[in-house]
Order: sequence, then structure tokens, then C-alpha cells
Amino acid sequence: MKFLDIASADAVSGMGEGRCDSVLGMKMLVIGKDINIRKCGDKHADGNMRTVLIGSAKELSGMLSASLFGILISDNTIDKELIERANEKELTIFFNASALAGESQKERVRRAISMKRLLRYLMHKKSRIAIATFAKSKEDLLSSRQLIALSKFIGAPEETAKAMISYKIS
Amino acid sequence: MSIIMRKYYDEKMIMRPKFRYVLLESSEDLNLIDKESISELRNRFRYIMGEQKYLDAEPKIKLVNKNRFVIKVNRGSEEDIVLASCFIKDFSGKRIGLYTVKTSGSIRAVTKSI
Repeated sequence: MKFLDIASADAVSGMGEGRCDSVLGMKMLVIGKDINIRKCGDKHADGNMRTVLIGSAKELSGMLSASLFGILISDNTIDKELIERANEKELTIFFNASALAGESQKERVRRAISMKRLLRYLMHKKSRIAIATFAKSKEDLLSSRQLIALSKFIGAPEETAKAMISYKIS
Repeated sequence: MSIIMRKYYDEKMIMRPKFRYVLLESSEDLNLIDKESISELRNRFRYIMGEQKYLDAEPKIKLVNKNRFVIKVNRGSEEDIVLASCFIKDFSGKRIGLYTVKTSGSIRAVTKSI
């Protein structure tokens, strides 16, 4: 089982090219090279790369398309229609690990509660779920074991936590 | 082995404390040779884990080599240490990241990677 993470080129180069596999135990998908990250409102074309769209639930609701690989609901709110449409288009719904890990304690608790609620709903609806760091620098990176622990922290069982970092890139 | 000796041995094995060793790597050199730095790191873990989980884990920093170090914890608490290491993002005024490299029941297996 190969574990995957999404990070910027700066984070991967800061860590060292071969070290991501040996130290973190993950294969890195580099933003801009292997995968594209686009915020709602950006007008750049996706091109041939797999794209993950980032935005709040309201912003995302009108922007889903079959050409996307996944979405990241930045405010962690439960929008039933959005999630149903994402399931129909077989999109992966991402969780941002570095947003949870890097905050102050107060923000972390608030964010963890909202992520727990969202995760519970997504598991009930049998959505495709994943977690990634989206690291901007090497300090935001996490190992596979840490990501599994974070997934369990927001309520995923053991098997689901491992599946959340071994999603398929088709 | 006689029955009495066997029973003594079994009881001793059950009562013996069991540990896990977690090898962590930092993105920057933490200078953990200094006692104050070690104390600061342990305080960070205590703050994040909470008093109860910290007492259950009883973490001790064992070996240090530049930016890699080993934490010895009671068995069953290694997950808590791994999770707490995700949340430590600054140390002595520097921005850092901690990565869990390996976990093992013996310090020998972990020392090979250091």
C-alpha cells in the first residue's frame, strides 16, 4: 500500500528529494507538477493535470465538474447537496492536515470539532475521503504515521485512516 | 523449570513495565544536549497532551543525534506521542516540524536508524 501526500515544491525540496520516502514514508505529489490546486474564483485553466478545488461549501456548490479530481471544503461545513453531487461525480473530498496541526490551541479545537462532524457525515454517505498536508514549507510536512494518527483524531477508524492516505490517482 | 519457578517467572513478566521507543526527526537542530531545552520540549508535550495522558505516557528523551532523538514511553501511549508531535510547530522561538521516523519495542531497532 503506497501512502500519498500533496505538498508544494518548496516543501519537498526543503525536505530533500529522496528523503520524503525514507523519512516520512510517503510518496509526494508535487503541486504544479503532479497535481494542480485551484481556489474558487481563479480563472486559470486546469489543463491536463488532476485538479483539487479549494473553497467554502457555498463557493464550491456551483463549480463542480467531472474534470476535477477532488475538492477541499475549507470551512468544513456540511452541505448535503454539494456532497451528493461530489459523490455522483466520484470526487475525493480532502481534509487539510496542516490547517489542523499548525493552528493555536483554541483554533485547533474548533477546527477539529467541525472536521469530526464532516467526517462522520461523509463516512455515513460512503464518500471518497482523503487527508493531505498541502504543505507550503518543510515544517508543515507530516509522516504517514502522523497522518494516520490525525485521521483517527478526527474520528476515522483504523482501516479508514489508512485508506485516507492511500487514495488512487487515476 | 519447577512449577513454583514458572509461576514466579510468569508473574515477573506480567509485572515488568513495557516500553515503546519513538524515533523523531526535527526539521531544525533543537540543541537537546542542554537540560533546559529538554525540559522545554517535555513541557510542550505536557501542554499538548494534558496532565493525565502525559502521566500515562511518562515520556523520557533518551538519545540525541543532531536533529534526531528517541523518546521512551510506556506501551500503549506511543500513539499519543505521535499525535502530540504533529502539533509542535515552534520551539525556542524557531519554527520547526517534527516527523515520526520509526516506532519499536526495542531501543536497538530504533538506534540503527539514528
